[in-house]
Amino acid sequence: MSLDSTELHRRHVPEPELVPILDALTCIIFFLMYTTTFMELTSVILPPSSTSLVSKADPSKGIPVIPKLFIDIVDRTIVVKMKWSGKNPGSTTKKMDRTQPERYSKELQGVVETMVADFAAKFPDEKSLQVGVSERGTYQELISVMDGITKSVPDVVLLSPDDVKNMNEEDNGS
Amino acid sequence: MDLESLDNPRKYPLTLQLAPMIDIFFLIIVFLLKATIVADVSIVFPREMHPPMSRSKETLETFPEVVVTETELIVGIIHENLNLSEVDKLSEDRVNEIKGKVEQYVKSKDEKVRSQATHVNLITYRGNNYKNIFASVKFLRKIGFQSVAFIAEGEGQ
Repeated sequence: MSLDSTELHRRHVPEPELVPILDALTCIIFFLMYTTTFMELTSVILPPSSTSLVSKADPSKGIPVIPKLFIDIVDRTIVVKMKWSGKNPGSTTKKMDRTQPERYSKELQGVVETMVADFAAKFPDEKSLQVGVSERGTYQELISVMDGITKSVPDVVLLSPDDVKNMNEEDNGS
Repeated sequence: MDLESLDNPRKYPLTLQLAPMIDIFFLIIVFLLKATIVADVSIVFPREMHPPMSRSKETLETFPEVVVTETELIVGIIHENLNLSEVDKLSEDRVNEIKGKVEQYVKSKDEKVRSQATHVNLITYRGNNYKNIFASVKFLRKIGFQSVAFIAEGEGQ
């Protein structure tokens, strides 16, 4: 085949204009990349449930501490109460304003963190904490509370909202 | 090749070949986008469901997903949509039936990932109430899931 006939054949083959298509595609990719939002997800884990045996006959182990943290909501106030049993039972309470229940509360996280850190300093062997939130409490509040706890105590066990109600009744003496 | 054209630069000026350059550039972008690891596990949140914020540094695991709405508990892996107000009132037979489905699901998994099948990633919106969360966690444990991971949005945003 001669060069002339090849050239003649090429002239008659319709070719799509690839250059502007690729150019436009490149522009679109940048536009899409800039408008995309990447969400970094994380998780807060409730560990597998387990049972532990406590022997009453063994005096060296003493009375179990069983620490409990209650988050109660009274009107626009959050009441954070921590109670524990054992040889030296005790409790601490802190109150704070409830402003935006669906937003991450650094204040709530901070209050819980301080309270649990104080407890962990007194009882370094305690590795789990029972947490109960009032019925009205939000999922965001639970996560803020759990963030505050897991820095000092690794395992969290959830308590029923009824336990929070019962705790209030016990405290009020009814 | 036309040898005459090489001798005459005015007739055929040197031009930059943009087409192959853009072509390669385009391929590289696609390759980079595909190779970028945003997260090992991808969790798709249902529309209009905003996750809570968390400071936790825990990484995500490839556990089965459970979605909790305002009224329902959706366990997609066993095709069960349960009304949250009724999960506590379910008959023992019904609970055992669901438990059986979970066991079957776990058995169907490869031995290497079987232990992961007994954990769940719980997905719900930040404003959902604690009563629903507690009822869901309690029921999930009842039907055989060992641990529950609450999925939240990290501080990276």
